[in-house]
Parts: sequence; structure tokens; C-alpha cells
Amino acid sequence: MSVQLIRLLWGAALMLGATVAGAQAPELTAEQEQRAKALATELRCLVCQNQSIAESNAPLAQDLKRQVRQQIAAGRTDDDIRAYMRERYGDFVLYKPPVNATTGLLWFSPVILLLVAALLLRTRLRRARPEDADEIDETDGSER
Amino acid sequence: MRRILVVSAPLILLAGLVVLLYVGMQDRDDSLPSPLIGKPTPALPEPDGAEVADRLAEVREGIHLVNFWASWCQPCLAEHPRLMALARDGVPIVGVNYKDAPEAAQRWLARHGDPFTVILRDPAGTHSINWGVYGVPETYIVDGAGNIVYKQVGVVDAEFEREELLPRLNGAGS
Repeated sequence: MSVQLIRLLWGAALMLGATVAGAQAPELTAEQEQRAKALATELRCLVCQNQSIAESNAPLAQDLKRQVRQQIAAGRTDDDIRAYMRERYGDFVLYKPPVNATTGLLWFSPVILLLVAALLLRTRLRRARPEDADEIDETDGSER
Repeated sequence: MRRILVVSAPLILLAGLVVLLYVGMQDRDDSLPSPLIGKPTPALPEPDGAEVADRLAEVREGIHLVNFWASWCQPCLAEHPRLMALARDGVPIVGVNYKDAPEAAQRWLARHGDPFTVILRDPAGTHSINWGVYGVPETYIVDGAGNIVYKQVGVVDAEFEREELLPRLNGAGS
């Protein structure tokens, strides 16, 4: 069997999966539609991982978008829906993860790195100043 | 001496970074940790008829596997022989047929063999979302109290059987 044929069959299988799952998404008002869109950009597509479910056409992303719409139609708040996704897929599903013990390093490492760099720079500049003072004056201060 | 330290500091930092990145690259497991570990299982799809419901209730009294699969899923075929072997050894397996056509699923089982104690159907994938499934196959170890104790994303392999499943089965004295 050729690679192309296998690819074709695989594509057909995926499409079949999509049609089987093609349950109808509910009608939303314009304002609800806005919320659905905003939420979809906040939620990560678990299959493609570097796209939000708004950007992705993966079947799972479609399903999750439908979930968002159904829950909005059912009157649940944005926070309810975020919590729903987190309970099932963990912090990873949120593009902006909450600050807690496990995500602390993720959130604060830029600040820590900046502080370390500032400290290094300070000790360095302090040591450099007496020796290099003449040179800096000659370069019109633009090096500063 | 001090000078050597200053000059070599960036090199040492670089070496450290290389080691860190190298170690990070060795961890090829990019499957997501499940927030459902240690929690009661979400609802399964409705069993098809009273007889299936009874069998499911019986399976859920002890430690068992819940396997999400589909006939269109190639990795499911890859893990299938292992599931068959586990079934022969008497491990109860609940098969949740994910976004599949019933006839296609039937054909697949007839052709390759049926390792499942109970088969449930989730044609729209909504139950699977509740389980945090993001691709098939995924396999959960569920204890007799109905709590999820482990989640395997992707093919169940020898390591899963040896490290995760068997110790728990033996621990439960079954």
C-alpha cells in the first residue's frame, strides 16, 4: 500500500470522526458570540499546543469550541467555563496560567533573571569605573 | 586569580545552560499531567442495555482499565495486542469507543479481536472531554473505589504494564 493511499485513508477517517461528532452548536446572541470568541483565544488547543482553540481546526479544538458555546448558551460565566476546562485539562489549557506553587517559577523567573543581571551589571560597572573613566570621557559619553 | 574567575564565569554559565537544555531534551514525554488523578472518575457514556450495565457495574467493583480508542486510530492498533494479552490475563478493560461509527468499530473488533470486557460508545466525544481526553488512545487505571489512579497518554507499552499496572493489580490482591 502506498504512502499516499494511507494518507488518503487517514484523512477520510479523520473526516468521518468529524462528521460523527458534528452535533449542532447552539445559536448565540452577538454579545455571547463575542464572549465565545474571547474565551476561545484564551484556551490552548491540546493537540497542537502552540495554537489557541480559536486558531485551530483540529477536531478536538472544534469540540472544545462547541463546549464553550453550549455552556455560554446555558448561562455559565466565563470563570465557570475556564474552571471547567482546568478541571479536565489542567493549568496547561489556559494560555495565561494562574499563579500558584507549580507555575511560580514560570511567572517569576523573568524577574529573578532580571535581578541577577542587574546585580552582575552593578558589580561590574562599579569595578570598571575608576580604570576606564578617561576612556568614557573621550567617547563623548555616548557609551554610557 | 580573580581575573580567571571573571573570564571563566560566562563559560561556566554556558556549560551549565548546555547541561540544563540537554537534560531537558532527554525528557521526551510531552504528555500533559491529568488534574483528575486521585479524583473520582467522570461519568462514562450510558451502557447499551441492562446486560452491559450489569457487567460495567461488576467491572467497576475492582481495579480496571478505561481505554479510549477508535477504529480510525492507528496507535490504537499498535497497542491492541497488549490489550488482548492483558484481557487474557483477566484484567478488566472498559473500552470507550471515541467518535467512531458503530459498524466501523464492530468490523475492527471482528478483524483484530475484542479485548474489552465492556464497550461504551462516545460518538460526539463529549464524555471523553469530561475525562480530559485529548487524543486516542488514552488509558486510565481506575481503582475499586472509582478513583482515577493513573493516566497513560498514547500507546500502553511494556513500561506502563510493568511500572504502573502490575504493581497496582498485585497491590490490590487480584
